[in-house]
Amino acid sequence: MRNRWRQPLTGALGACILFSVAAMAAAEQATSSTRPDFSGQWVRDHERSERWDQVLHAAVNQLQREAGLRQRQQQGGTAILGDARRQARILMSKARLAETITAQELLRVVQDDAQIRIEREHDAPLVCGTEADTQQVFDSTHGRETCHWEQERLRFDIRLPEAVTISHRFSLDPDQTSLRVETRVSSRQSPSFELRRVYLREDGATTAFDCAQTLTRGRVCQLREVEPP
Amino acid sequence: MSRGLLCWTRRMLPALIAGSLLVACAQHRSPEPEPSLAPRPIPLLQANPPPAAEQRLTIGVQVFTHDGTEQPALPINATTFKRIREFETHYLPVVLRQTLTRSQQWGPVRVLPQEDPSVDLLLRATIVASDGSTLTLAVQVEDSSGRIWLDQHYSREAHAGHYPDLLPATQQNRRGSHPDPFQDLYTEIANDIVLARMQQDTESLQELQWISELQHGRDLAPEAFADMLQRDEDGHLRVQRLPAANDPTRLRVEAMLERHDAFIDTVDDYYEALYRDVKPLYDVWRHYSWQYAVEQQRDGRGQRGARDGRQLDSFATLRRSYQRLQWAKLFEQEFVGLASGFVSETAPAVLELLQRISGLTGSVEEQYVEWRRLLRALYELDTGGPLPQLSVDGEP
Repeated sequence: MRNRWRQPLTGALGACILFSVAAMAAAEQATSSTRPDFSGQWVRDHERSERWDQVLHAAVNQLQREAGLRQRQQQGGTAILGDARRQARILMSKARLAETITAQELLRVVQDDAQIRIEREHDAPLVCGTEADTQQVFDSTHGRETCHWEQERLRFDIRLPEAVTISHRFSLDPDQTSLRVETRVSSRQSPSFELRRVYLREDGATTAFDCAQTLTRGRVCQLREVEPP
Repeated sequence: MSRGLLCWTRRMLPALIAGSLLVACAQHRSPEPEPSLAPRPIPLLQANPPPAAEQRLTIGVQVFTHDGTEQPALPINATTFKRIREFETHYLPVVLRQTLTRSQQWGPVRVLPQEDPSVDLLLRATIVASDGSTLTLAVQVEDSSGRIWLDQHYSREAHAGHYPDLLPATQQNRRGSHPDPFQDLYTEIANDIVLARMQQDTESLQELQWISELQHGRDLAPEAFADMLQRDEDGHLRVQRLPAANDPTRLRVEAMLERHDAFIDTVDDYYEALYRDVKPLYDVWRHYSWQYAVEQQRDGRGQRGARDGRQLDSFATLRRSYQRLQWAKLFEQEFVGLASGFVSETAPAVLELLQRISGLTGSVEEQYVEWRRLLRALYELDTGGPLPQLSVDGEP
């Protein structure tokens, strides 16, 4: 009885494994070839992008609340005050860094089946393959950069020698006309600082932009609906 | 801690944090660049209006040389380093030529692949050291008579202010490039040549122009021009006699000279195109090697500890660290790949134009050598046989 069943069972198990491997390969194939299409020129939408100083104020308020709570619980006023000040200074540095490295008005994305390349003004391009695994983009004494896909989202992690990590997460809005870039600067010593930028596709056929040069924010563009012909 | 102080601290803590941050925010409304450390540039001696005709000598800046034995000071492979050096022999003369032209002190200034008998002054230079932090050139300027005007080393160190914080545009996105960090070195050379010219009298300068024209004639027809020039006891060429203004051979040589000028103008355009196309990429190399030298110095002074996380509260430290990484990445990703050929988009088009002008093929250096041979052949064809003796000025 046992012997009679063994062969078909082994056969079924083998078929199952084969099927799983084939399914995984197909899924892998699908993921690398069906990545969201980020390609095109993107211009910053100031209305929907966060302002670094406002985000910083919110983060500082949070820090205050937490420090106040800790102080009430632990009865360590001076130490908490010193620690909170130090954390606030680090947070400020992170905020300024986030603002500086995401200050681009324009992004240019070139993408094919194998690779995505995000070109930014006055910064090195971010380049990642379309495969599923985490990829090491660059590694040196100056720091390390890796990238990977989180389903529809592309993520780059840049680690500086000071043990500070900068991560950029790129995702498209469902209507594919907006590119969302979330940049987080984090370290162990203080809370992370996260800044969200939104970019509008410049080469869309059904959309157009109203752009104006402003004194405070440079060139500001807003999405305008275009009536179909 | 007394109860009163504790209460006070509790009440004031949020206000103190908020206050210190608000002050900081007010001070840093938007990130500002660090102050520039570049020293004040040396002024270029510019002529306005341009000087008299006898002072407007033509200058040939010969493609530089390097001794080929220098080892890279930073960790890049030897092949890439050799290519950078070879490229620099074409690139650096263009910066010098631009400086000389900007001074408005001279006649046409051209970059040439080798010595040319038609120029009044020939500038040769050897790259002794060149990276982002130092440039040292051994420069020699010789006039057409063989007198040496300059023969010395020029050296300059770059400063932090010479390198902007922002990364230059990459090959795919060339929107920006910055001025040469060693511009002072070129300015100093240009100014020294002007000072050397001041030591020449008008007659000597006029004679130099004659010597170059006769040298060009002698290059085309050695027999006809052989006795026009003689060497003095110091070995310098002197004009013995001049052909008559209406001498047909002289007119023919002048016509050839015009064609030659058109050719070497295009050769010069070739080097300019090469320079323009590759400058953004070369800027990356310079910045990267400068940053490497700074890092080495910092490590030598034991300042590595500044990067261990203790200065996280300094935005300047974080930004520098980020920029360092970006430069290193840009160098590795963009430069090393592209430096294999120092890809130029425009220069091949100029080379093709040159081929159409001359009907020649090969590299610009090969074409130049062929062109000189072709000119001699054209001259012989034009004269249709054995070369006549020239009539001497004043002698019919």
